[in-house]
Order: sequence, then structure tokens, then C-alpha cells
Amino acid sequence: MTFASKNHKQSTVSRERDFYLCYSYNMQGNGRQSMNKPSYDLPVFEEPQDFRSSMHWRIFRIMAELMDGWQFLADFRNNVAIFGSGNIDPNHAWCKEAEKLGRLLTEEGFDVVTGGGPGIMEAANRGATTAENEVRGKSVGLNIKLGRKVRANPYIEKSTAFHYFFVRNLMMNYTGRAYVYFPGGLGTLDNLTAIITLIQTKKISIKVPIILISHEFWDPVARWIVEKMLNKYNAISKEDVDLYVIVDTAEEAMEYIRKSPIRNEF
Amino acid sequence: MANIKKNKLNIPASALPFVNELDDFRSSMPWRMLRVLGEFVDGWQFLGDIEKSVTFFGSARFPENDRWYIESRRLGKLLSEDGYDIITGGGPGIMEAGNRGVDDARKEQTHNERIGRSIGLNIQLPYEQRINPYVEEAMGFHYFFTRKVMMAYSSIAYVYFPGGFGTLDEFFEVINLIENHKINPDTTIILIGKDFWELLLEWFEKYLYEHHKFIPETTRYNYQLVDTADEAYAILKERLKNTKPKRIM
Repeated sequence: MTFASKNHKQSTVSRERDFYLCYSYNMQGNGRQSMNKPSYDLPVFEEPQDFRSSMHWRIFRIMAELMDGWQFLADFRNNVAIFGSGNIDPNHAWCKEAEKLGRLLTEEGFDVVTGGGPGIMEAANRGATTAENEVRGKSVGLNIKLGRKVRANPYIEKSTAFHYFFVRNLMMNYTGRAYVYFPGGLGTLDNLTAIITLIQTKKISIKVPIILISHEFWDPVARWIVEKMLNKYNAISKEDVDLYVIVDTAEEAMEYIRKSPIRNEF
Repeated sequence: MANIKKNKLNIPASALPFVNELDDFRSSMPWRMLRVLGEFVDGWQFLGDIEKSVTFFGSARFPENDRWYIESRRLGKLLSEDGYDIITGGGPGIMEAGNRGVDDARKEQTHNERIGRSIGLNIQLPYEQRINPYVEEAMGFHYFFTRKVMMAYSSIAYVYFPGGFGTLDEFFEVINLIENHKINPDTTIILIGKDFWELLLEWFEKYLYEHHKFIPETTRYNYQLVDTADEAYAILKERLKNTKPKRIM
């Protein structure tokens, strides 16, 4: 309540400082439970200079992103998510494989969902648009807004962009019928471990296949998981290492994808 | 709903098709949206008072006499004696050890020095609700992602003990967020347990940095690998000395 003091001048303090004061008034000697009061007793609250930086606004923004995401995804119920590095030479064999997989998937009527960026994602989207059937799956991109730019590749037919990483991850994890991971960096690893955790804790169906492409890239990690996590440290169960498969080609991946049941999570 | 054509829902409310209420309103999509929001509001309301905290991750399966349990307990004690709140997932194993360290510190408290709080951000799993007895303040989440946002959101330092997929997930998520400038790049990340993490980090070096350059090489300065609680404490003390309390959420 001491917050709106006379010394506090909006014009002279930086926005950051302003913000700090706004959210810390209840810490200034009032004790932790100070917000548990009837509303007429709550301290006066000053708006920060930019309303978008307030906590309330951010919750609304999250809500808007969730709604947009679900609204968007409701049309793509039969989709397969493809992940992989955005930072890879487009002529690399893995990119060719991603392109082939994208084409095979849309030919059989699956929608291809990627992160919408360059590299593997672009290759998969490009492949998805090259299927020559009359009725084929769509090439879908769930982009991320980084800084001021949205990075979207030119082969996306339907796309949406998110500010929050976790909303994008959530949308990716929400509807995929199968998950395919090409070699990739932190984003790929993040999503892979997230989906394994969700299946392991039975938050999503155990029948959703997780397919890792390239023995060369993934084998060392798989070996580490078995040797250290499972055998030496007992941090996971024996059946958890069966949640994913490693293959080398798009055709092998297709076999697992065809066997997967449709997700009815919506 | 089933026979409405796709993309035909862009019409005034008066013309929208009639929708039957589901048997249980909790399984409807709008309700789930509200539940997600409810978890966000609850979570931030709960975390709003935290000024400086360190989050511990690690396996839920380590027993009391395990080396890493003991290290985690010791680190929890050292940090809470310095006034840092300890946040864990509220489960057993490493999480319990971290919370228990705070309990140890409180038992040995002689003067009225400030001891950090012991906080558990728990997850409600279908087959178990596992909260350890050393958590002083807890909040349970239904959704993994809200819990993860709260975790990635609240602390100025993250400590990773050996663990399973959940631990790995948190590690990748936090370094990914730092890499993409979504959270403060000064956030301290410490991996404990050379035997456990070394092989993975070698793979990082070989495949991700050098061979394929999937991630910028500077990422490797975002985390540090140590072997004991005391080493971790020394680094944290040095790095956190100048860190501002995290008030801007």
C-alpha cells in the first residue's frame, strides 16, 4: 500500500522499474498473505505504461493463443507432426527423406504439421505440396514469432503463428496421430522429451507412435538412455524405452504411421 | 456438429447450429479452456510472492540413501539457509530431497535468520497423486504444460540432478527458451552428476555443435556440469550474488 508514494514519478523511471514497483507493492513489509483481502482493502494498483506488459493482459494473450490454436487445428484431425532442425543444408539426405515422407503422407490423406520454419520443416512442407492426388492432405505450419519476425517457409498452405513456445508445443502435442523426429536441435529435443513424458505418464494415448529418423544421429542418445537412465540409475522403467522407434527411411516410418489409430482427443 | 461442413462456423450466433450439452460438462472443450486459464491464474497467484528461488529437477525414483538424494538434500539446505526458496515438482526422490533440505535448515535454525520456503508444484497423474511430506506450500496442476510454464517462469536458477524423461524435458525446454530469448539469458543452469550427464553432453558437442551446427556454439556456456552439491552451491552463490530478485514475471 506504500506503493503509490510521492517519490514515484512516472516520467522519470524506466519502464522496467515501473513494472517492478507495480508488482512488488505487496512485498513491501505487508507479508505474503496481503492479497487475501476483500477488494475494498486491496492496495491501489497503477497501470504500467504499456498495458501489454501487465500480467492480466498476458493471461488474455495466452487465452487468445489457445483459442486460435484449437480453432485452427480442429480442421486437421488426421495429422502427423514432423520435427527437425531449421538449420540444415536443404540438400542434405535427411531433408530429402523429410520431403519424401511429406509426399507419402499427403498422398495417403494425412495432413502434415510442422513448425513452419526452414530446414527439415520446409522440406516436409515442400514434399507435402508435391503429392499429385486429386484429394490430398494439407501442408500445415505452426509458426513461432521470434523477436519481430515470423519465420514461415513458402510451402505452407495453412498456417498460424504463436508468440508463446508452450502454446505452440501444446498444439503440436495435442492432435498428432504420429510424431516423426528428424535430427534437430533444442526445439526438436524439447518436443521429443515432452511427448515421451506425456505418454509415459498416460496423459496421452500409449498408442501414439514416436518415430526417430536416422540411426546415425539418434543411436548414441538411445544408448545413453538405456545405459545410464535405465540400467545404471533406474530413473525410468523398462517399457519406457519401447515408446519410440528408430528407423532410417521414410518408407519404414510410414509403416508405423499407417498402424496408428486416429486420435480422438478433441 | 458432425455433418456441418468445415469452415462454416463463421456465422452470427443466431444462425449457429444447436449443440447438445455433453453428459459431463467438464469434458467439453470450453470448459477445458477455462480450466487451463484457471490453472494459469492459480499458478501465478501462487508464485506471485516468490522473489528469489532455485528449482530442482531429478528422478522421482531415487531412495533415501542414494548418492543424489543426499546431494540434493544438502544443496536444498545450503540454499535455503541463504534465503532462497526451493521449488521442486513436489514428488518423491530428488524432489523430496530438495524439500527436505529446507526442513533440515529449519530444524537447525538458531537465530531468526530467514530460511527459504519449500515449494512443490505438483502434477496430478491419473494413477497417483504424489506429494512429499516436506513441501510447505504446494499447488497441484492437472496440465503438464501449465506446470512447466510455472516452473520455467519462476526461478533465477535451475539445478538438474540425474533423472528420467521429465527432467530431460525441463532441461531442453529451459535452454531452448534461453536460446530463443524468451526468458532471461542470465538464468543459471547447473547439471549435477558427471557420470550421468557427460555422455549426453558429448553427444551435444559432437552432433549438435560441431558436426551439424544445429545449435549455436554459445549455448554451451548456458549450462555448467558439476559433481557435488558443494560445487553447485559455490557456482550459484557467485552467480546469484549480482542477480536482481525476479519480480518481473
